[in-house]
Amino acid sequence: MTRQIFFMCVFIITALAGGAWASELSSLDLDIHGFVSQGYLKSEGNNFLTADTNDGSFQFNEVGINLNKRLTDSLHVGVQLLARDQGVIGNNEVEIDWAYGNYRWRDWLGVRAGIMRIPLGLYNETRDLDFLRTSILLPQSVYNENLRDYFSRIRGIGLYGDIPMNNVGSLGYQLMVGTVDIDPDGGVARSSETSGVMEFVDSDVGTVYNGSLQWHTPLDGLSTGITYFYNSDAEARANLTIPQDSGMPSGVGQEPDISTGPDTAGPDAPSDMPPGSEMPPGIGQDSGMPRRLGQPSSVEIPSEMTVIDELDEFEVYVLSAEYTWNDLVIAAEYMKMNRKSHLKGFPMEFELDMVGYYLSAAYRFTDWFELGSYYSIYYGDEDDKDGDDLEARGKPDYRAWLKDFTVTTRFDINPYWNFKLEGHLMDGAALVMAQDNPDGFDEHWYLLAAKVSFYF
Amino acid sequence: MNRFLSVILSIFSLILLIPDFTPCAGAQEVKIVAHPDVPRYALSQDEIQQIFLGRNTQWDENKEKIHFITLEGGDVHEQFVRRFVGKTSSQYGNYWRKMVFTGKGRAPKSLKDPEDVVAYVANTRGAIGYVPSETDTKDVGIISVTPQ
Repeated sequence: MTRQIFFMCVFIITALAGGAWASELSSLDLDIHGFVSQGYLKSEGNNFLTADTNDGSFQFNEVGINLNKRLTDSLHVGVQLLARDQGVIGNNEVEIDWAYGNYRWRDWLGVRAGIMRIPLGLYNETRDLDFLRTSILLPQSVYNENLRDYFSRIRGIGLYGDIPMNNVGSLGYQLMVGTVDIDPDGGVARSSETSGVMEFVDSDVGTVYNGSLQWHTPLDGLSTGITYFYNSDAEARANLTIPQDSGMPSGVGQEPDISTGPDTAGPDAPSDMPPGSEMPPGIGQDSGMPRRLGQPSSVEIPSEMTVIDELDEFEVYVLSAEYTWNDLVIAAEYMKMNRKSHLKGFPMEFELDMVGYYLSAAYRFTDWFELGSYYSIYYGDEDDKDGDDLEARGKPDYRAWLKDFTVTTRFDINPYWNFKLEGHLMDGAALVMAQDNPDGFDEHWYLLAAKVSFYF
Repeated sequence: MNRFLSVILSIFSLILLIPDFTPCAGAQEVKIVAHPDVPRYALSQDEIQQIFLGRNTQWDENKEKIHFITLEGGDVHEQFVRRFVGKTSSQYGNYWRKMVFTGKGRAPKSLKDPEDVVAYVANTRGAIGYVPSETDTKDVGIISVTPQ
């Protein structure tokens, strides 16, 4: 389906839906729902989210439509098509967001198979649906947009259910196994190319395991949860080109020091490129300088070659809590990622721990107005939170963290249309890509986001 | 960390100082109604919450499907979801949008008139809904709410 036809379908169906909450084709027992969002990003300091935000960017939108058909009381099938644009990523290419069959045998046991959204934290499943929350951008400490295509959806099978526990609340669970598709033009690929010496070619993620446990506590409005993501057999290929005058060691008898040191940056790459960018095209690799394990050894590396980064272990867990008290919603989450990998054919192993956490609050004052705020902290390397290691290698220490204080407002114009405006006060430049900031980075910077959404 | 804590405390102080502009729901009482053949006429608040969040989908004794129905907005709807589901009507709407847009569920059927809710419940096996207390409910059963 071309982009034009897809957009035309969504707009026509949106228009036909009129004021209805949903357009139910009752004779077919078929539900159709959709949404259209258009945003604007403007920053002062760093360009962010792969867009030219310093100049202001409208490359920030989502369009989606879904169909859900009930086959029996317990069996449903559905599909959602999604097109999105975020800077140079997405470009409104239409993709299957989810498409699965869902058989609920009992309340405590159901089966899903197909393409499903990945539960990771409270909001990963709905991260493209900003009309469901107060803020436009989710806290990047836990919901890192650069790694979005790794965590969006899984192609496989899953079990789920809700288990009542009488006086101690209830327990909801999801267990999934399958694989993940990495977009070679997406955020994961782009993160790995930020050093300027790597070109992402392709990847094979292998098998991914995902689980979610959510406890709805007996205290009204309080739920807590843990989600987990594990991948151990992924590999990614990339073309490595070492500029002749880069200072990067190459040739017989030298070790390719591609994991450490400012001297690994080529002349076209900024000297203060993001920590970790010197890594090969790591899946799940973002900010943070991976630590090389073991002793250096002599190997041969030509100035041009294809390297394969093999993931030995990648795990993510997120601890979550959300409390709702009347019109006030408070949420807090803590995320930790651990990544171990090695370069195929080279005696080098790498390890990196990334951590992030945030606290948010939102309050609805009237039917049409909601105010929210969050404070989010991300460290690209848990063992170098103050950036001393980066500084010792000639890079700015503030590339080690990103601290984001956000105030956001939401205006519900009617039940199918809202407008949001939010401001971010940023400290640090982790998660900011070098390609988007060729002149270097700012430590203190600002981001303004606005978005209007229609949904039915 | 001190800076982090001071920022957080400032945010929450600000929010807690803000007066509640939420319009008060009317004082109308709510009756929970069910099809005459449902196996139970007494439910706890937790059980009602689980039903209207779509987590409990079967009557426990005969595994018959639960069909729950809601009112389209209004004071009675606001009062019901706040008291029995623990959400505001806005939060309840967003909860179901989340289910719909992740493919996990279908939006609950909702009707505008309480009389239509009673008619639907009376004619649908396994159905449960709620209406203002003054609504004529002679054709349906009344659910009593038991302690936890």
